[in-house]
Amino acid sequence: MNARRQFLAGLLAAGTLPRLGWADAGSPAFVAAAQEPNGDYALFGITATGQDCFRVPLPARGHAAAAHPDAPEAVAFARRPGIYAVVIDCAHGEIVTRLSTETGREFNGHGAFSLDGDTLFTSEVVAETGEGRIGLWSRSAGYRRIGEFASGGIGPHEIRRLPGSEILVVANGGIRTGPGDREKLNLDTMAPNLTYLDRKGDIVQQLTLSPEVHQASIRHLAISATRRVAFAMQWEGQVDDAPALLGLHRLGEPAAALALAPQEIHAGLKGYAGSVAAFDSGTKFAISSPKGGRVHVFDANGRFISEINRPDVCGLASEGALLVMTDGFGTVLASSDGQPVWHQRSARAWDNHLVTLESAIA
Amino acid sequence: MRILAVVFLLMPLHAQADGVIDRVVDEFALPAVAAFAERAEALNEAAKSTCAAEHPALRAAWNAAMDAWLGIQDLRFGPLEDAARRQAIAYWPDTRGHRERALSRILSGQDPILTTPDRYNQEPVSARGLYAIETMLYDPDFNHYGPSDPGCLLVRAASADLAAIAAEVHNEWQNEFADVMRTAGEPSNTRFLDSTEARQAVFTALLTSIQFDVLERLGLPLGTFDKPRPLRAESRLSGRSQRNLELSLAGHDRLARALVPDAAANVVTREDFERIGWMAAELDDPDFSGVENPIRRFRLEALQSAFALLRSEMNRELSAALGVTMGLNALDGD
Repeated sequence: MNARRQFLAGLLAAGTLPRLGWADAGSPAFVAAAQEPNGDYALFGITATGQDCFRVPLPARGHAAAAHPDAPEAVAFARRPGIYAVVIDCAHGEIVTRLSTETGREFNGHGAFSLDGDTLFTSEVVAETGEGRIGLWSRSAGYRRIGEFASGGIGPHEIRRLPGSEILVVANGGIRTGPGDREKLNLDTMAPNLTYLDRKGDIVQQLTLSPEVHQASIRHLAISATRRVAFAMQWEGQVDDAPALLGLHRLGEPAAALALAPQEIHAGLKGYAGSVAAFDSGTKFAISSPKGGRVHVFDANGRFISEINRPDVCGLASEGALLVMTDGFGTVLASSDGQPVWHQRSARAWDNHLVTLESAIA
Repeated sequence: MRILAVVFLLMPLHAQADGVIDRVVDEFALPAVAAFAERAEALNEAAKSTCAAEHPALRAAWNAAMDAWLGIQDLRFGPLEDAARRQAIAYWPDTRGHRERALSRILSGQDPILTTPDRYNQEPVSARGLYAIETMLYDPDFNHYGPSDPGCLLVRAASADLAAIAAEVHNEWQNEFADVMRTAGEPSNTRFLDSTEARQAVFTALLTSIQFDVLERLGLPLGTFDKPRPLRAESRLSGRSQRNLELSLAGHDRLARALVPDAAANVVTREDFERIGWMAAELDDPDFSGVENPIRRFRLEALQSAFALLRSEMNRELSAALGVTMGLNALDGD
């Protein structure tokens, strides 16, 4: 008894009472937003075998989320142009706090945490001009906004942090939209880029596409176990003219390697990649096309391996050697070499992204 | 009683017989792929007998194959989506002129493919299939070849290639994929993981096809009011843009009826099909060149809106009748 009391006193003195970790949220491996049959929206925690482990209602249609590296906390972002982001306590299924944008700013659906987990970076635009901003929010100060810097382009969409570093990777999609809407205003002149930013917001490296494919909007990112950045694009030109929709790049390399299937198979993507994932220890990359109802899988050299037919497939994530896919019909499906390994189905429409929690931990 | 039990045991262990899937397979898919294979083979035979671009028999055979294609284009799952067959059969749209360039390259003799026509399936999809043959038969830049010219060999090679793909599609549907659909949800079925997935695939395919009519068949030639694009109309060369649209609609109608035969369960959809069928038949604009004329353009725009409305009403009514939903991702990604 005495020994136990001393032990507890020691813990308190050291300030090391165990804090809640992701295991307390039911050990989710992924989070994803969905629409439910009654039209409501929610964010779900999903285990490594596709089971639900928590559900948190969202005020409007969600898009993606940023998971805290170790606390069971996720920030869910509204679909662009975002009017909200909510911080969710995933262990208790509660909204902890709401983030609202600065005047004249809009959330663009994605965010990332700093290495120490105390700063949240949000992808934003200046509503009037489409200029990209990265918003900075302090978690220890109750998610108070503490600053912002330029994203390095127009219409940033997904941002990620390179594992083990403070470098942010930003997909500046290049598309300017009207304030509060999704109308595309500059398709003739759009110029997307992939930008690496340091902690101060200074550009470490910036990659642009060659002029003939300037209408390939760089929108989504995945980072492999070997720190290769995979970026997925959406083609705004004529659909039959769509170039490669997957690029692979490592910080420091002068140019990205572009990956596409043979022309006739590539055409099945309809010029649109909705999500991207790196899986199987960085040896494979996948992009999804909900418009084409298929996923294309490539090897680390960007060589096309295979395609998987799934209507309305969009969310992609890695689970070890498996590729996990979600679709608008409530399926979570894990596959290996194109063959299903397990699946779960729920009465809900999974929205665009399946967010891996592991990637946030590194 | 005992006899009945034995009979049940002898029946194939299908997870659950799905009348919807049986109707789609038996009343829509199998007859349509059989007809397409037959028409494509007839085109192949016609081309063997005469390759002359303006020969009525050859043109009639090509038109019949095109008609039959529009009867299977809604099968956006299974054999037509494997091995890029849809592209090889029907590579359209082609707004950048890939087709003309590929055909010119082959005809110039730089590419020796015409000496080995059985390898024509290795040519780019833009030079294969129905639309490539259409260009050869109807485009004045291509259809002046004689019986011993490369053009003649190309028409024959492309027709044989098309017939071979059509036969593959028919064969795979008949001998494999029909069963894959009927056994949705069985443990051995890796394509349809549970019983709803087969219905879901058909439903999604149908809505996607209507969207294709809205955005491509009508949307491409309509362009914008300030910049209409009549040259982008499908089958403008053969003057059958309107016919394609009408047959496309008729195919959607047949598939929708196979999915939900009970008219009371989709009253608005039925009404929409009837009204749009009438609107399309009354267009009197065979190649959609009316997009440049304000009054005729208005009729095409109204038709486009009607297709979009059909899609949305059908989504509502059929999803309720079938117990499936349209996902969020295919139409409004981010």
